[in-house]
Amino acid sequence: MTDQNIVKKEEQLVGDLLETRFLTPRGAIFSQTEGGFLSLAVDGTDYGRVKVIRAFPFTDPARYLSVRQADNEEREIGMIEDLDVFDPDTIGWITRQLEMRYFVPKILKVREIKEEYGYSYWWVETDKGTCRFTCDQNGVTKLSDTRLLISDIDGNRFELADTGGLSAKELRMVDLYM
Amino acid sequence: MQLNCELPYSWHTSEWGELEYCIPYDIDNNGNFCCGGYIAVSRRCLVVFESQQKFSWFSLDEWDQVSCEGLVGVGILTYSKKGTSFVLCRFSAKHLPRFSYVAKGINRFMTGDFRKVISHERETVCKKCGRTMHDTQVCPHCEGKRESWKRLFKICRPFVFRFAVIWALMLAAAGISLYMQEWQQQFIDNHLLPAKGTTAHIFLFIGVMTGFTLLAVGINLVKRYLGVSLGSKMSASLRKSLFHKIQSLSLAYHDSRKPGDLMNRVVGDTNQIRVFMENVFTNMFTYVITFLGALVIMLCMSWQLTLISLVFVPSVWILFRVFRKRMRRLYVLSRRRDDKLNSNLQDVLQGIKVVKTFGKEGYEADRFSQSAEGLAQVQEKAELFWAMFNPVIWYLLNLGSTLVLLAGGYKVLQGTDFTVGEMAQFIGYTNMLFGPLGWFTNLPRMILNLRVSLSRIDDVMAQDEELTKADEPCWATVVGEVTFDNVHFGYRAYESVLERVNFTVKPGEAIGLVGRSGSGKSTMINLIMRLYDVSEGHVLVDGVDLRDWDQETYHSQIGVVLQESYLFSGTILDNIRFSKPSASVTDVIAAAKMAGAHDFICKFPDGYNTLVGEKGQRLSGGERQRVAIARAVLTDPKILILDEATSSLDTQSEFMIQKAMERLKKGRTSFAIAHRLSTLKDCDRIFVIDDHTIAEIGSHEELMQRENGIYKGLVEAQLEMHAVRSTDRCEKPTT
Ligand SMILES: Nc1ncnc2c1ncn2[C@@H]1O[C@H](COP(=O)(O)OP(=O)(O)O)[C@@H](O)[C@H]1O
Ligand SMILES: [Mg+2]
Repeated sequence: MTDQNIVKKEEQLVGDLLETRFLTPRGAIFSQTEGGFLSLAVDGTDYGRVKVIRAFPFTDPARYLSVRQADNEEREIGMIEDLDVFDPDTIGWITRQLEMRYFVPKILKVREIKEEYGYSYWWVETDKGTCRFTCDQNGVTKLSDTRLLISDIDGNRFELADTGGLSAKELRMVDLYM
Repeated sequence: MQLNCELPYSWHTSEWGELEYCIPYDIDNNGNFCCGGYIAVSRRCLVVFESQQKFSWFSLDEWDQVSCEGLVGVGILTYSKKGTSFVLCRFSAKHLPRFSYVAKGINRFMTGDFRKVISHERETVCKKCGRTMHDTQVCPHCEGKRESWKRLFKICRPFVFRFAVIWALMLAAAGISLYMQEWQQQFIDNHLLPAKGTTAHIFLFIGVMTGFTLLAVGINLVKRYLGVSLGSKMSASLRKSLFHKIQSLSLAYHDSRKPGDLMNRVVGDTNQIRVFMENVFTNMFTYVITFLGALVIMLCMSWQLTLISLVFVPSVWILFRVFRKRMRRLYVLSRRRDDKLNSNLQDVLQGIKVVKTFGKEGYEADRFSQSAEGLAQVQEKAELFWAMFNPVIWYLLNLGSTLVLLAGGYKVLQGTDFTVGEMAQFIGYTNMLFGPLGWFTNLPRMILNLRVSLSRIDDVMAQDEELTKADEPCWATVVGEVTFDNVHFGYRAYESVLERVNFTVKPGEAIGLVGRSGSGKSTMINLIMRLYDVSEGHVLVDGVDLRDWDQETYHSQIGVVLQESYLFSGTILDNIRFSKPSASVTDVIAAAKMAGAHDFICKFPDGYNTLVGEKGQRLSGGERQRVAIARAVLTDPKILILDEATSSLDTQSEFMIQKAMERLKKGRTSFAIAHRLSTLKDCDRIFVIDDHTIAEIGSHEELMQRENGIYKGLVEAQLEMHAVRSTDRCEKPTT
């Protein structure tokens, strides 16, 4: 390899790392694999199965999606700035992937929070069904003044979208952890 | 961790083969929580049960691979068939480890390896009560109670004599306060009422009362002193044994704990025991005895009056019970806000440089005042609550005395056998009854706190030291031969890092370890240092299994330098001597010279006595490393380990250390890992780690001759990069 070539190769590598490529319906063709995953071809390059990751899962869940290769290295292929510009099928597939990847039940009702031996035991109704989970001292993160993210000791996550929507009794229980 | 749960459905062994793994999943196809879902696996097939009727059957023959993917708050088990992946089931994060193990097991089945995966991880939920055992070995509720009292008893045993003395004092204190009332009664009835008393009597009365009071004060003082010293002694002895234990636990244990958590146990939980001994224990029996004694005497004097005086006891008790939750809430809330304020403050002070350089003082000040206000609000509420609660309680209690006064006064006036003195005595006892009431309502919480602390301490103490000690350890001098005999290792059983590693290194040989980052180079070195024990196979030094070496003997004969060397706060001399406190100053200087550290140390105004660490001289990365190397070679180790010891340094320092190193490696077995492959060129042999095992072995020249060799590829890639950088550098001025 001549020096010139090497320089070019390295520059391209660095360029790839620095540049953000936005995927649009014009260049990027998404499709669904037989197994229900997502695959992608961009400008004729077929990437096979890809992963979709939210860059701002809490503040902007439907925008700035990073599409990455499904192997161990997970290199970014490009970003989707806004999902809405794609056709309904694609939106459906990508949403399905996101729903599969992010399992963050929304807490609708707090039935009970019990504290014992340094752990808090929660019993809640979520949009995914009734659930009990256990948190340690640092389980509750404030996303905003009224929005809470609750992580349990196993790594499950729950969202309390609006503490204003809770009854006074529920609020009293939750307030201890805010 | 259980991988073979009971399947609540029927399993057709004749058709499907023996059931090998069975675990539950808890998220259905629509992404909702469900129960009753199970994955069951035999050597031939996998069945996903949704219920008894609804299940899907798969044959393992048709699959390429099964994998368990951890996503955000959820995991999926997938299989791939002809290159396409399919989802088998979904489960919440708590099942993730279980599924990883089982996926590994299924993959083994598919390659014809029928060994079962066994998980040594413990369950983290109590089977009996469902409480978490996240950071304890046994359930704090089911098992912990008995255990923690046993532990407390054990801790107390050396202090039995002190306990006895304190008990006796408590009895005496209670007795005196009970008797004082009796004495007062006699005085009133015999001397005051009949108006027969003389001034002498009054002085005698005052004298005796003063005497009693002084005695009580004295007793309380001594009791308090003994309690405090008992508490401190107990917590100190606990602290010592905890610290000792924590140090002797394996790194695997430390990996799984946050250092802050262990620190809390050593400092916080032992303190809890001290507080209990000081504040609760020393008062507990005094209060109990006074309470019971007063009650008994009162009943003897007049059961009717006793009942009257007790009218308000239930209401006070109820008040305390009702408001206990609220009190506790305010207390916890203010403590948490306080913590938050502290951590905010700490955060800003640590990052003060960043705050200032970005000009964000105003923003931080706003944030801080917000949390300060939050705390103030809660504290205000708490104070207000107390300010209202206390008078109410006192009023109720006094109401009790008032009632007694009323009924008692009536009785006295009636002229039956109830005297004025007795009434005064009775009122005295009534007050004694109410005094400890508030205290008693708090008692359960204080005992609970103690038990939590005890169980957390107990948990550490009950840990097995994962690295077992040999029965007849080897105390020999290390020669330096290192052998890996079919070594398998993973930090977690389901994730192997090294597999089938075999090699023998002769004494004095210099070995370079090469591989991508994350390939397991440091892991291999951790095994040589015996920070972890192998999962399978043996690591032998001089033909003796590492597990049979005496740990300290072995460790004192190896020298280690890591990428980020930790220097303790203290002087440079202390730090170098850390590895061998008995080393003479000449040895220290010789070691420093060997490490190329002598020169710069001498240039410091305080020489070898220069303080390093938080308060002392800031050493540069290169200087720090050289001190660490001096520390490593001071013991004249037979095995020298360098894990990226020079990677974070500039080329100049690296060159210096490299020079030093070449001298050091002579006559020692050495293992070196380095970023820049050129620094390993002179090693006798280079091991290339790839795909969990040693992929290539040979000297630099031999490996460079392999077509498509991994090492050759790595070296060429680095040379290219280097070339590019230098051409860049050369071209810039001209363009
Ligand atoms: N203490 C640990 N606990 C769990 N996994 C670890 C630990 N240390 C390293 N690993 C994992 O083991 C693998 C090998 O790491 P390591 O030996 O440090 O690689 P390297 O070759 O870069 O030194 C990596 O995948 C890493 O994530
Ligand atoms: Mg490493």
